[in-house]
Amino acid sequence: MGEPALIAEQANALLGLVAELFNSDPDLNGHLKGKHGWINLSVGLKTGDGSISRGIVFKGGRAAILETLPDEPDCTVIFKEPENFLLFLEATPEESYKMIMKGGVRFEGNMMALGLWDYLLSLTLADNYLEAVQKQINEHREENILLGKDADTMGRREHPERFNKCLRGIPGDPGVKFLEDPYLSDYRLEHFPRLKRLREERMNARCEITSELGKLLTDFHMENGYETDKEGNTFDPLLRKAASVKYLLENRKALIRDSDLLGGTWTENPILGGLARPYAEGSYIWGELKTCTQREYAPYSISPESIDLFHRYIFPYWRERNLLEIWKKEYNNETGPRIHEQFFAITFWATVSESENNPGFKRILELGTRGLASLIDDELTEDSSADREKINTLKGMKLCLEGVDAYAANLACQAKELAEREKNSTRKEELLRICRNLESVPHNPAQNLEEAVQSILITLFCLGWETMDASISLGRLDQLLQPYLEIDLAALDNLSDRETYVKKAVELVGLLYLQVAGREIIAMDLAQLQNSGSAPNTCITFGGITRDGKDAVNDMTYILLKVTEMLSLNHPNTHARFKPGSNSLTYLKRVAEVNYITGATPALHNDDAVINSLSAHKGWAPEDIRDWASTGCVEPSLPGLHAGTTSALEINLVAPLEMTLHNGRHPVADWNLGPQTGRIEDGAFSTFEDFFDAFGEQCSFIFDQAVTGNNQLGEIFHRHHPHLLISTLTEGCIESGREFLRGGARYNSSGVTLIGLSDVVDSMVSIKKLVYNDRVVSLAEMKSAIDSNFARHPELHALIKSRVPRFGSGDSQALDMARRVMKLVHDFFTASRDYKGGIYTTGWWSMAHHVVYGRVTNALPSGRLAGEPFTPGLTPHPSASPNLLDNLRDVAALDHRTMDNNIAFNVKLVPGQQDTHEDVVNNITSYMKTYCELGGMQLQFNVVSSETLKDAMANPEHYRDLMVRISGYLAYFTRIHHELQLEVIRRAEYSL
Amino acid sequence: MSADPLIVNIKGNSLDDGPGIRSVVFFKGCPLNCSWCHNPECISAKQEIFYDREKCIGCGCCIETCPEAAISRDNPLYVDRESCSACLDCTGTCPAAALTAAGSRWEVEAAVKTILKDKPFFKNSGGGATLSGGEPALHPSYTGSLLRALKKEKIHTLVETCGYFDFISFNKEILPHADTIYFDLKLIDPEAHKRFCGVSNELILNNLIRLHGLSHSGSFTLLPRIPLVPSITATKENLSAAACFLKRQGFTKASLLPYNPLWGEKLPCLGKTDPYPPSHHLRKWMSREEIVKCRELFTSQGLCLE
Repeated sequence: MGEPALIAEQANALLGLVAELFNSDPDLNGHLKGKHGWINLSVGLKTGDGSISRGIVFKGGRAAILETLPDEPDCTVIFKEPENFLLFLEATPEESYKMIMKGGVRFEGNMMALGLWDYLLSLTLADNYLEAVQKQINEHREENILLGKDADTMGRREHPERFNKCLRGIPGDPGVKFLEDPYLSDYRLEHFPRLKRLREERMNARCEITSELGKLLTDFHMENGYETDKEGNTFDPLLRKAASVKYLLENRKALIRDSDLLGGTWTENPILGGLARPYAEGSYIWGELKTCTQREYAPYSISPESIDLFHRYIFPYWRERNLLEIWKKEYNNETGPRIHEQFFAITFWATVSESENNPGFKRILELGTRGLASLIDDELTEDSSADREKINTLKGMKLCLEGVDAYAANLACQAKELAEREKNSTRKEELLRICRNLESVPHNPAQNLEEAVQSILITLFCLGWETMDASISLGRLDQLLQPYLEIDLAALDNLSDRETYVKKAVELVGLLYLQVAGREIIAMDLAQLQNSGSAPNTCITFGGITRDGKDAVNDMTYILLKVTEMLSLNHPNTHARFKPGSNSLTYLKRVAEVNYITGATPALHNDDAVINSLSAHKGWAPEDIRDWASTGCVEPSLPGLHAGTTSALEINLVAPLEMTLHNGRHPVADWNLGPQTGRIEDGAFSTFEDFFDAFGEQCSFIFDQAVTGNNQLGEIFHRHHPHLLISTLTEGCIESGREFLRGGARYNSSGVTLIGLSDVVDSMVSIKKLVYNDRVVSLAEMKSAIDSNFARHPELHALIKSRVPRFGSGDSQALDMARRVMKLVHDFFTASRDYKGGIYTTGWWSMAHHVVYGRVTNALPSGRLAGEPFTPGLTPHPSASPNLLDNLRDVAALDHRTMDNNIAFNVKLVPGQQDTHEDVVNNITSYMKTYCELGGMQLQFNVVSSETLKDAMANPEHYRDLMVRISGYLAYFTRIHHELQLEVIRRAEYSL
Repeated sequence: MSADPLIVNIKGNSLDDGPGIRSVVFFKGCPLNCSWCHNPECISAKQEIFYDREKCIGCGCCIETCPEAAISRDNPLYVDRESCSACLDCTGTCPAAALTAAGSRWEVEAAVKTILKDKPFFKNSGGGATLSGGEPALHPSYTGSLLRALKKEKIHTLVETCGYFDFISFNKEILPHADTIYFDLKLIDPEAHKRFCGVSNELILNNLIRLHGLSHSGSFTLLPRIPLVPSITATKENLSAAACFLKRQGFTKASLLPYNPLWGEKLPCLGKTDPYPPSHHLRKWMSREEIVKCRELFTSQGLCLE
């Protein structure tokens, strides 16, 4: 470390060097030349104490350094202390993120400009970065080897063996009409060479960042304008978006994967690609275009042509037109974006995606785009008083449907061309079938299972291209597909024809899964902390009850379960609904078996609890609620009826607790942002109620920021990227002439999830018991203890751990506290309104935020030490009770109404060595059934031992396919963030 | 024996002590003293201090509190059991709960109430309550009341016994309320039994035969279980003899319990030294192959194994 003056000189030297290189090296200089003209940029560098205050300006192809800050910098990098500057230069990616979260460095201005600056730096200083990454990889590798060196290696054999011991099912479900053995126990992946091959390709693939969407979109707007149209008139956003969607779909490459039976692909990389939309998630990766292939987690592939297109053509166009920038500029909102960018309290998901939904695929299957278009025409003709917005909304919808038809037609042509060239007669026939199917659907209603699956898939892709980055879920796929299975089977009399058909149906559904799995969300390296290993989370839901309350389990339910088991993919994310008293034990047992075999999926949802929670929503019809399906991680929404945007906000619930302890200041982010509710050092909070009220006040402050910001972002989304295609698939939008994000759907809401419930509850119980009831310590002493991370108060720390009952221990006070905190949160959000006119729903799942937010949190009165992860979702702390049943009972006793955006309750189970396959399945079934009968809402088992996880960390080559549930999402264990791996290991483990 | 025994623990969610999901009541006090006892805290019928070194933060509160000056950092076992009067003062002051009392009194009603919380899980798994220990049959009156109360709540009851009990009171107090008896058979050779378990096996074998006779009525299920202890019970001679004995008595079913070496970890907590080094075969798990071999000795006699 040097003196501030010395550091300032170093900063100067660095900027000077960069400027010099760009001026003297023609190759580097060439990077300043964009397709729309010179790429200009001004960057300020400063420190909190003012010791550094410099700038660098790129203009007209020349770089120059400034002795002062630029007048109006595009972006500014602010280091808290001069040392932070030096540390930042040498930091590994993780160290730099820690610094960002702790406020050691922060950024102002345009994030894409900052990305551009990072990109330019990566051209000159790439070696520094790569060295730092390598250092980080080596450190983790060493730690992993140490951790796993004595671990039991049994899992290498035991996990694959699970696939070979399938039970036979007992027929008897009323909706199962054809399957003799509903468990389809004779089938193995080996019997489906096509699926096996495509799965292998997928598992070994690296995701490519594709530029096709970005390029086409930019082409469109270059040609047609953005703010104004070709004629110079204000461009109506509805028509602008619709025309651009149509253009994208008409012009995107029509690809048929080798050996697939379903036409189309997510991206131009047929196996695994990401779309990188330049106005949303794509806008974050400018700075990483050169380095993203080398990073430790989820490294991408990207072609030199794509890098060039992004840097010179696509990103410069979207620099001022991305969602985050529009938010900052148009709303003059300083607090929201700063909270978002410092990663300590709220993640505004709408900065990248309007978030998860369940479109009405049933409409496309039953009506086709043709039928939907005529509905729109009818509405246009019949409503003579339609306003401009309605007319443009409806016109826009039609344009989007035309785009869908165009994409299908292009694919049909492509299939025909391939067929003409194909030598192998079997494949030729397959290609011709693909062609025939695509000539029919999705334009027309589907006539059979193959058409239905193809129709769903094309529609899914088109929705993805329209705008959504996050999950577009497939809803209740068993209910959608069963009618077509029945049509097909009704035509077959002979038993062996039927058996052959069932096998084909399994293959077809398997191909659908593998197509869904062909995409990842493009995310900057930092996002690896938030959702490491997560897929885009297209959810598939099955089981439960029908709209009229009857047992919904059918043949297709079991086919989906079989495919889920055989393919064992982390995407699609599968969810089993279970209605106690209606669904059979045979079905539940199969859910338990698939969960055991795959180790992690499907998640279990109790219909009674979910339906109960949604029934509290005013005006929601019971039959519609019964049709609920998961989206995103676990969140319930009503397919084709509901604009649910279910993971709009991810909020750190511990942040308001820390702010209560620090009089409105967030201690790690080092920011006085909340209301001053009282200084503990001055004797504030004479009763526990005073303390709890102050917590409520800090919560309101944070929640207000969240709602305000999200509503602004939702409004931006509507004005820039209205969702017209999904509107055609959502009841209410056509009739009202209002699009999906404008409140057109029959039901509207936005979803919030709160992270760190158990940590907050345990802390509250600790304060209440030790400070106010038993008076063992004063609140000031408690605060001083946590401020020192308990270093000076080991006895208090021990006392907390041994004497304070936790949520999940079966203690009624802790349970009451959980209910009280949840009610406080839910009361706030259910009274708030989102930009669509709907309520906010509250959920308790955490993606990987429990690790991220844990990092930026000091020690807590619960005894949790600084930096440790929170517990995932609303899972009780591992030490709450040695008895799993205490956990299950406490979680089941929570109030459903406060969990209307669902929960993620993770439990790690380890089969005993002596247990047979059936023993394990029976035990899991017993837990599931009882938990549901007690009122539990959601439950997901990771059936894996810590020993196996440790072995996998040290020897990842043996565990490529090992899957775990993080919170609501699924990931391959060996590919997730190191800290997240440790957190999964640290979770409570219960033996079977 | 006193009518009110000490209970070490009521453990929920057990999957290894009978069918389904079960709650297990561990009684304190056993007439046997098996050298490999898996629950050494259940051998003595008296209350004892249980010291968990892992939890200890070394604050010394207990040293200041102890009226007998029985606790010392210089003592590798921490608590001098000779001078400890089990007054339990230290357990109250220890902030980390590293010092706890092994054994406490449970009113029958309180025990039933605790067990009842798990009842919904019993129903779906075919589980229930298991009385284990220690030896529940040492306290026929208490055990009988507990079983009666559980049966009143329609909970499946299972008693695990070492077989060393007074048959008349067992038959009168316990048997009418027990759905299943797990009867441990350790060593057939009387000398070996005396050597490793502290008492002769005559009473045990007689009790087993008598219970077997009564089990034909169908009012309860009887399952003999042989704990596999390498080089002690899991020998060819002993297992063959046990299988022969059971066969001769007309048993068709038995159960073998694979060895669990972890009991050694509890010994220092009770002020005892582990007699075996970590490398000793009694500190290792049995391999799958060894277990299969043991099982074959039984199945070859035509006995079914659970």
